[in-house]
Amino acid sequence: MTAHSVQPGCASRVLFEDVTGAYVNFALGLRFEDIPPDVVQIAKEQLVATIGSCLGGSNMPGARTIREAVSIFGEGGTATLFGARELRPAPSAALYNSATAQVIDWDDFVIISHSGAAVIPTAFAAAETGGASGRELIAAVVIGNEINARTSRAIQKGAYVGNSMPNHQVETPLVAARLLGLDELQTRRAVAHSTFLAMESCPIGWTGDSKLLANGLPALWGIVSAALAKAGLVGYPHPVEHPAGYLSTVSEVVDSSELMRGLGSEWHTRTLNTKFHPSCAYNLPAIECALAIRERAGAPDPARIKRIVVHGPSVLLYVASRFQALEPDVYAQIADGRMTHVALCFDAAYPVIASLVYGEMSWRQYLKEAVLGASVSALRDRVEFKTDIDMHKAYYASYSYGARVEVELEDGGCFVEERRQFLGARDRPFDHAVKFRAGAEGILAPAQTEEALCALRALEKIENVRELGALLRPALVQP
Amino acid sequence: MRFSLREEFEQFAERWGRHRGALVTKRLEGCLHRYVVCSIPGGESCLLFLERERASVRDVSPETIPHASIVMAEQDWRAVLSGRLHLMSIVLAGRAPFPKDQRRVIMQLSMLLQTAVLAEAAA
Repeated sequence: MTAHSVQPGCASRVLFEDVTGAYVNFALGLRFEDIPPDVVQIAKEQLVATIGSCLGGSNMPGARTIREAVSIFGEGGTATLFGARELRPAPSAALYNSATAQVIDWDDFVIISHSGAAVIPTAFAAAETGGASGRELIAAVVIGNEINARTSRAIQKGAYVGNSMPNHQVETPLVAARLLGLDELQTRRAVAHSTFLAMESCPIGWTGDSKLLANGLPALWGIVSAALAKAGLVGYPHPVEHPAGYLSTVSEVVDSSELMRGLGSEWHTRTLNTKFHPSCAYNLPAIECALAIRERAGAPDPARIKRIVVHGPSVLLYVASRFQALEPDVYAQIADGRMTHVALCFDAAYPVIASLVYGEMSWRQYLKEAVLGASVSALRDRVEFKTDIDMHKAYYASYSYGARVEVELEDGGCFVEERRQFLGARDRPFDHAVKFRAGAEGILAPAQTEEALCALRALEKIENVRELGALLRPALVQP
Repeated sequence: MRFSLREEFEQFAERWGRHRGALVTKRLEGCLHRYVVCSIPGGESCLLFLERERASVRDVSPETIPHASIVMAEQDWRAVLSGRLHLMSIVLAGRAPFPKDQRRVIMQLSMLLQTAVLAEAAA
């Protein structure tokens, strides 16, 4: 904070630093050449994985609904809906791509905030609209990650956790402003417009497809806010840091010291965690455990299973019980259409059971027929959760996501697997091409998939992102 | 089976003390040193005060101005204090209020309460 001193006869000085200004300077001033090579590489791989998520997510019913609905914003345009043939206006594409990135919660996060599903849809749509180069797209993705990480750290002691954190309205207009050619004043105003109506998600809304708007609306609105600012709409110049500004509106506690710490020198993009399996990150190690047990034990006979005990940190327990008191239960409400599979992305028991039963955890396991399958139903009441104190401490100390799954059989046998960090975490990476190909299966032809993957991995050589967009629109006719 | 909210919370307080602060992290400190009234509509109520290494359960006095009030039916308290559900489960089921000025306390208490109940007590 700026030092506060009062001299007789003088008004008090304001109690905040110009964080918005620092963010604007960073967003507009960062040169591609100034980004460390490993950070550039991570950003490119983040694009590979996120677009893979979008392609895979486009298989889901909610995705198809949004694709149809965004036509209300107009048809034609400059921006790609990943996996679809049509072009749409940039805000539409940002909304759609953000929604598909998260429809099965198959996205990523930097520090503790879900970055890719807000930053990449915004950046790609703005880049196509502005005719930006691949280097500019990479820089914009890094900018989004860096801002997102810092605002999330500033509000992490408030009520919100994970993807519920309402911080994306800061990074999306900065990303859009960079790619749409706004100047400093316009960019500052873009942040003002974007953050004016603070978007906090309703917790109960996470039981349905509304949840796809958690990053989607900030992505859409970041681009619109940039357009409003570029046209001259005036907004307050200190929206992020003001005591009556955005962060104070959304969070009970704001640690301002985190907002500019290491900006431009400490690269939080390096903390990127990318999910190999689609589910809330707190569930991921338990999913791996269940898949490993399935591989060892074969397809389970529910009649032989006495109980399934899952051990983990508090955050795992939180998602395990979140929707378990609903009446009728979540499954009944999914069956009758009041809720969707999204609720089960944030339920710990379902992905464990689905992994055991189906031997995989993909978008297919979130389809209604899989959710309501007989073997799943038989096992739903046999899952218990317990705290593992070491895993609990490790999560908060070093963002280690642990779980241990024990499948106890009626005959006394027991299968146990444990993971101390999920596959795809920053310290347990995987080749994102695997995810891209998995997501593209059935959406892009194999040859096109490989061509798009190569182009993404050589992104800095692309002069206009629209060339890349064309590769992400399938040549085949989609139903 | 007879249920006493006060007795259940007193048992929780003993369990909490045995963990000797192991479960508290900086991101979950928001519910510490806060007065939380826990009650059953038309029934029992008690005042929970959670500190890092101890918890105390007291009577609710007319002068008490709590930081949060958690009101739910006995069956929901049974589920929460067994660890099968947490406070937010009941809120999301629409059976407990979630005022905005109390949400941080309720959210963080929800996590700590369940985590403590489902943990094996420290040796």
